[in-house]
Amino acid sequence: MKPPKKQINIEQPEKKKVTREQALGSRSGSLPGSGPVSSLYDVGPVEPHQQAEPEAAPKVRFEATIHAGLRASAGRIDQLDIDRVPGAKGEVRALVTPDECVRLLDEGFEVRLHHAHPVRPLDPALIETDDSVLRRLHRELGNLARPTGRKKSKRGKRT
Amino acid sequence: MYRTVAQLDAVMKFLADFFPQLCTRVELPNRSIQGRPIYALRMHAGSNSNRRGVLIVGGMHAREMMNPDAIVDLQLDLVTSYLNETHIKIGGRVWEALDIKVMLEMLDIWMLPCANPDGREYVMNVDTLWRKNRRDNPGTPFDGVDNNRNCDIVWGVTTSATSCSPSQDSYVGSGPLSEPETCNIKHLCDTNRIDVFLDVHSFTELVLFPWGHARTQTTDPTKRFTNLATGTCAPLNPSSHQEYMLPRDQLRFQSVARQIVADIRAVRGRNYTAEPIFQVYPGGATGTASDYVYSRHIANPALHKTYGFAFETGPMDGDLANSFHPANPDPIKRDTKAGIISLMQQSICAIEFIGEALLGTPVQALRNVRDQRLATTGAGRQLIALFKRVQIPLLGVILADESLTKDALNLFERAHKLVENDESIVNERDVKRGLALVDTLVDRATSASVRRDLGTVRKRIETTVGKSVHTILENLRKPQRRKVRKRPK
Repeated sequence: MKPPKKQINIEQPEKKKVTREQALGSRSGSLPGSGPVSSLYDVGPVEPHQQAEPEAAPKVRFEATIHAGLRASAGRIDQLDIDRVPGAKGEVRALVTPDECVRLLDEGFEVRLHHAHPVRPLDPALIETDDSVLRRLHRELGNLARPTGRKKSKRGKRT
Repeated sequence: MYRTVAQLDAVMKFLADFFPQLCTRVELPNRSIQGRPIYALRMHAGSNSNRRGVLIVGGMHAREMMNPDAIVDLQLDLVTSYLNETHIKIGGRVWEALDIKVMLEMLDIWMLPCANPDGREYVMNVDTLWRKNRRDNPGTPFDGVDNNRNCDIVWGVTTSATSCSPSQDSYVGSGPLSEPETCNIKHLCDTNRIDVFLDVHSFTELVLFPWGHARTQTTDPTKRFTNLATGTCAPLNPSSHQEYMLPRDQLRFQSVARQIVADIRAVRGRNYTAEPIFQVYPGGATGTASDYVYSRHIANPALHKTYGFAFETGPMDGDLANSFHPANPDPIKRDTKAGIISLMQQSICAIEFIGEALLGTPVQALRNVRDQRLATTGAGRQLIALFKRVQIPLLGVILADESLTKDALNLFERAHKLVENDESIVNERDVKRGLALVDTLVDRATSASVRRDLGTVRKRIETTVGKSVHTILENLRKPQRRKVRKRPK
């Protein structure tokens, strides 16, 4: 008898099942860096020989919840060596690479992907510029910034 | 907006250069894996020595971007408040200028805002969700060690949140304290008096305290982490282990954390949860920094006790990326700053301040009463908790009024003299003076809960006239009997 087909469910933006091979294919980086989760659907079929060594630097990771599956009980989820991230109470949420997705599926868990996180730098728009840091320092501390650090005398200069 | 590592350092350098009477920038002995210097800022004012120390650490996990900025923002707020003699207002929570002055003049505040600079740079330039440091793990293609699993407390014992696999984000490293980032924390604790430690993480709006590796119990002191095998890369053995904690310490952790939660809520209504680390992770987490600092005095009784806390700042907001580094982190940073100030304020001991700083009197006799007499019973611990609750608001009231300060100092000296001898008798004049001070404080206290607590203190003082210190302390150690009204038949 053929084992049941392993599947990854993507909950958002719409529920769509993705095969193990598609999860493997996402290692190649065919997910566009800025694409939504649905871009996972674009991943093409992957040949079995592509099941290579675990990749140290994945191009994408998934925010996923892990659930008991046909061959994996809920009790086994607690023993998983996987990077958990905070989630709703009772939920096992993790940041997983495509390889880890495959491993989880191989072990019989059900994996639901919620978000794809392409590996990329922080949006430069979120990073302060040197100018803005300096401006703030002068705005907040400029009137105090003297070596003694004392407040300016309101009486004015002594003669 | 988030500062780069260089910008965070630049702010600290600016503070140290221009306000050396308040701020000292210290390069820690261990540079990062990639050779970056790691800096801490020591903040304190005034000249009294032998202060309580507070160590605030941020950025251990690289992707938790808000916290280093919040800590540096707080440095600016503290300097501004102290020098301008202005209050700090964060949303609906206000700390008066006097509160800040007392904190800076009573405490040694150490801030290590960016403990893992390599990680922060990597997040900004390569991988926005990177968590670990940038250790090159030999023999594997996977980089990085989780600094908050690398500390020397049940190190290398695996759980659902602690891994021996370098591929995982919770990788423990090659040995306890193998990483420069964790060694720097050890160094700061080894070379300074650190009474309170805070490790600021994100997210899920939590205020955490030990234990993390096992459930906490307060009844069996033989169940200690010092008897557990470490470095096994296997789950805790025995799995049923529950870690002992002194009831007094547990009460202290819980009451401080509750006050932090209340102070954060006052900012804009966010409801943080206070709980032991173990509650957050199924099966616990080993090798965490807050467990480590608190465990040190148990592993080596020659070391000073440090209460270790951790925050998880901010809520889950959409997805991970937005939760770790939202486009507008300012509201969360304000919550975080309020939580840190709350912890710093609760690190002050009014008795130490009045005795050692104002009177120059050692307070060992009073400390002995607290630790050896009161802390050993439930009723006594409740009394200590009551004192901790009221001391900060009342210290502000007392210090704002010269004559009240004088009364309090006189009474303190008398109390100190009395407790030095168990057979000393509390006379009528002592009681009158005590009640007069309490009544004045009741009139001036702004909080109903403080007035309620003072009412309890008043009743206790009334019963002490003509009794010996020994009898009074024995009574305080016993639960108070409640008067039960007889029902008419």
